[in-house]
Amino acid sequence: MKPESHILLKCIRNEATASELQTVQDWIELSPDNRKHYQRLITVHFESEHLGNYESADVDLEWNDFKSKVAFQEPIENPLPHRKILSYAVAAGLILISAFLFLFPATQGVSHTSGDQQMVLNLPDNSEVTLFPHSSIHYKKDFKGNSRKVKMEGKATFDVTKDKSKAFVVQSGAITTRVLGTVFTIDAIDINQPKLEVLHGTVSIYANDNKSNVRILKKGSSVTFNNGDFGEVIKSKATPADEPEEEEEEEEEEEKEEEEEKEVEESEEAEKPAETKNLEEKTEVPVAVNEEAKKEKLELSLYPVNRALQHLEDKFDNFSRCRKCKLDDDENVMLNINSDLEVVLEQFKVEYNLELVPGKCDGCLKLESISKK
Amino acid sequence: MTTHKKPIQIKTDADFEQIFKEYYNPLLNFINQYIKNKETSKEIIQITFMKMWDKRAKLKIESSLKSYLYRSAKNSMIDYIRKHDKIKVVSDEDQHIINNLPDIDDDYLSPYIIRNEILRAMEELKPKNREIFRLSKLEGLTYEEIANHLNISKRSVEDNVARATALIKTILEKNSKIFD
Repeated sequence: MKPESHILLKCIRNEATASELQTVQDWIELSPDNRKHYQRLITVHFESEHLGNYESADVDLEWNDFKSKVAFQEPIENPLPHRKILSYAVAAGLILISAFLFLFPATQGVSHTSGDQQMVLNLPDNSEVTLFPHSSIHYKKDFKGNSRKVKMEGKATFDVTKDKSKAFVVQSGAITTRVLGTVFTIDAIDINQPKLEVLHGTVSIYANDNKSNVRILKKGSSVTFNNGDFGEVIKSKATPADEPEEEEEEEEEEEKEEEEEKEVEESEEAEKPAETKNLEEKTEVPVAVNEEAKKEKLELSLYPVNRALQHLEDKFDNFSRCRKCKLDDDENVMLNINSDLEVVLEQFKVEYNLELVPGKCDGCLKLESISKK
Repeated sequence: MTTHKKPIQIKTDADFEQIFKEYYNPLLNFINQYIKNKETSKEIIQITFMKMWDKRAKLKIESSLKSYLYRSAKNSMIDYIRKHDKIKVVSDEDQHIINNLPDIDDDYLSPYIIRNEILRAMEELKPKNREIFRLSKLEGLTYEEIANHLNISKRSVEDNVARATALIKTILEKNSKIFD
């Protein structure tokens, strides 16, 4: 028979008599369920003891507060026709790098593979990775060591947390990309003509078979990795259109990949290589996906100016505005509200004159005035 | 990390609201044990959910929700401390602990989730039973103090606390997320 609750509690509180303890022990031994019952009582008892320090915020109030902060993420109209100039500005946060398929070593670590849809992941250093469909990423838990090493296949956007002491290194097949902190995309879908575009920050890239074969690219330049070597570094301001595919090199590359794929198949789960292969054979499909993803990134919507400015102030600690920096409530602006601060400000500048001055803290920006162009 | 479970996706704003309300306080308490300032901790939790909101449409959580939120909140906290490096947000000792928090660990959030659920389960207790449990656990009074305060016997206090504990356990068992 089950002992009374207060006897069980006495045992847990270490206040039971020897005979009470014996009764309870005998009862626990009777069945696993009894043991489970007792263990759960222990959990409730001990966790209850901590309730004195437990902070309870009113979640309904917090939710309302939250909703008001994100409210204008729902734009008035979405989307409006794209404006080319703005699209370039949005793309300024991107670096495109193409790369080859690489091999997953079967080491301990963390891997993620996206399915038919994008997947967003947080890395140990708080960098964020958007895995495009049918892409994989692999890294060692905790990023121990001198650098933050990541391996990937397919296509992914990296929003890298700045850490000058620990470079962020992405290995993708034949090339390795090294950064200290920026936003970039590695696109290994078009395997024939990997391309690196630096529109924001500084990035170094080198060939895996020859580490001295390195290129350092700054904002506004691009380079194509083609058949084992880098092409000329081109300085460009506009967002380059996708390069036409080079058919003649396809055969050679495909041979190489099939070789690699075999090894992958041996070391990875059965599903993954099949998917990967599928992707590579039907080059047209991933290119389409690619375009769509890019479009999504470039999507602009209409927001009320004052609310957009308020949002920027809330979102970015390094941005503030003067008290008079307000416009009429019916003033609207075309933005991609989820972009980086610099990008959003560029979008503002298309229609408005902004006067920006350094703020009180390091790297802080203050809006001194705003007016319609 | 191969999971055969279906990834968690946030399909509607109502889904998001439910997650927000369910995990807000456990996350707040998890963060506040290091930050030790309720308002700052709330700010960090708001940022955590803000980031999640921004990507809710394409978010696929392959691990558990608990594990995902633990890590997001932890990262937001680290970010926050880094951004506000001119003021001391946490002590050196806590900073050391934070630096060593693992990325994947369900057990860091679990106690706070259980405590949150205990508080919710208390609502279902009879008023007298609940009051005695509250005085014992939340106010930290001894059985004697409660007995004197309510003018009842110590044994009655003991019985009430035991009954409340057993009932809360039963209520928690209905919630599949608590005991597994």
